[in-house]
Amino acid sequence: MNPIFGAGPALTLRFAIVFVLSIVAMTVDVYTDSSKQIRNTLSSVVAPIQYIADLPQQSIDSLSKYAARKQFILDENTRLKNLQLIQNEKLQRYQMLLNENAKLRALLDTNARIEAKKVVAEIMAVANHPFSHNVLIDKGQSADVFAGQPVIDEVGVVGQVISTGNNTARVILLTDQTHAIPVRNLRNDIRAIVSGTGDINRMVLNNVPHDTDIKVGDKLITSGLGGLFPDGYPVAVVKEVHNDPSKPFLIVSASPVAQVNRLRHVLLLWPDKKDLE
Amino acid sequence: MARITKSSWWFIGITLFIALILSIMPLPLELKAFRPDWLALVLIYWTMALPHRVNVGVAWILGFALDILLGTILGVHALAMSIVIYISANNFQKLRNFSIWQQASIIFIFLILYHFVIFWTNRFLIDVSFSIEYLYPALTSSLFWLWLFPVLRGYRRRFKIR
Repeated sequence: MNPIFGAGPALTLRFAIVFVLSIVAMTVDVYTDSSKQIRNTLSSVVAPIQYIADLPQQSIDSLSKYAARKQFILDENTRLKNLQLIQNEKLQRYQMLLNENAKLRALLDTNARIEAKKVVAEIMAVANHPFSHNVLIDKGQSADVFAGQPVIDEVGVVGQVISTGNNTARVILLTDQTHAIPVRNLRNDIRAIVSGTGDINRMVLNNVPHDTDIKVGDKLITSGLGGLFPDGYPVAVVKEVHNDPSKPFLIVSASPVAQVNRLRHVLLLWPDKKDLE
Repeated sequence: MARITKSSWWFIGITLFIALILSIMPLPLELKAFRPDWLALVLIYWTMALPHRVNVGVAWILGFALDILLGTILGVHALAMSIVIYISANNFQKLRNFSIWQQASIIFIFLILYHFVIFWTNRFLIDVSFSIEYLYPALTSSLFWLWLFPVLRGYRRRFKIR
């Protein structure tokens, strides 16, 4: 016979202990920086669970590769070859522009831009909570990934690394409530800060004065200020500008360029220190 | 006796581990908002059946693991989970005597509370805004309880977990 579970105070005491523990954990996590270390250690511990949870998706992926029709593959091949041709043409001009840029920079006596190291990482299809937009990638400390590292995809900025385990790292997305990124308007170089709203398709520009020249359709790119993201990567497109004189600032919303909710692969950047200055 | 204790921990642990994996398993975008709170359901079952084994301590540790796995603020799920399990452990005898439909509706209310605790703490800490979508899992969870309860009870009786 099991002892009757009637030890009321013991249960309440336990509850009081875990209640206090939770409050301490939240406070430490939100208001201090030391939780990064705890998170890094613990995410290595739970990584196996994440790999197991990712297995079905992985096996379906590889299965669908096997099952893909010949015609489909041939079509895809043609499409990719065409794409390659177009991109090669662009690259030829890029090489010319690169040389020209280097010469101009030499004339102006500024630092030349150096190709930064890049690594492709795969998103582990692991679910997340609507309150925190982040994804897990399959590269970690063992691949020199570091917290604060910029992450992009083929069209624009995705976010930045917030914590690293041994073989995994967590990337916070641009659209997360707590994320903000310094940008400039491609059209006229006006600077702003774009922060996430927790909505996957909507970000807002903070503290934009009423007389700012900003229009719907303006492209926002990283400004290189802030010392994290290198200059010049596309971030968002302005979707709505609302001028309400009773409000202290313009209400400007933008949507991210990168398709943050259907990512499969991302690119990790190791920006050159000089580039960030 | 010690051997029985050890092996029953095994059996309980496996179900909790599966629940943890199901909680982070990728789902299609359309279904994502409806994911049942597997971990909460399994924990409530064991608290109800064996409150001397599974109660707030285990709930807190697993809630904390969920926080790490989901990348949410550390302690948020842990707190919500331990509040729900504290209430269930305090009323385990009443819960046991309810019919399965009554249990499902009680669990619906518990999980509304669970999601509100998560929302409130997030609201307080990082100022998120409310959307009714956050409560969908409570509904699907209580529906899944109708299936999960007999399954787990059968499992407990089959392996004589005490």
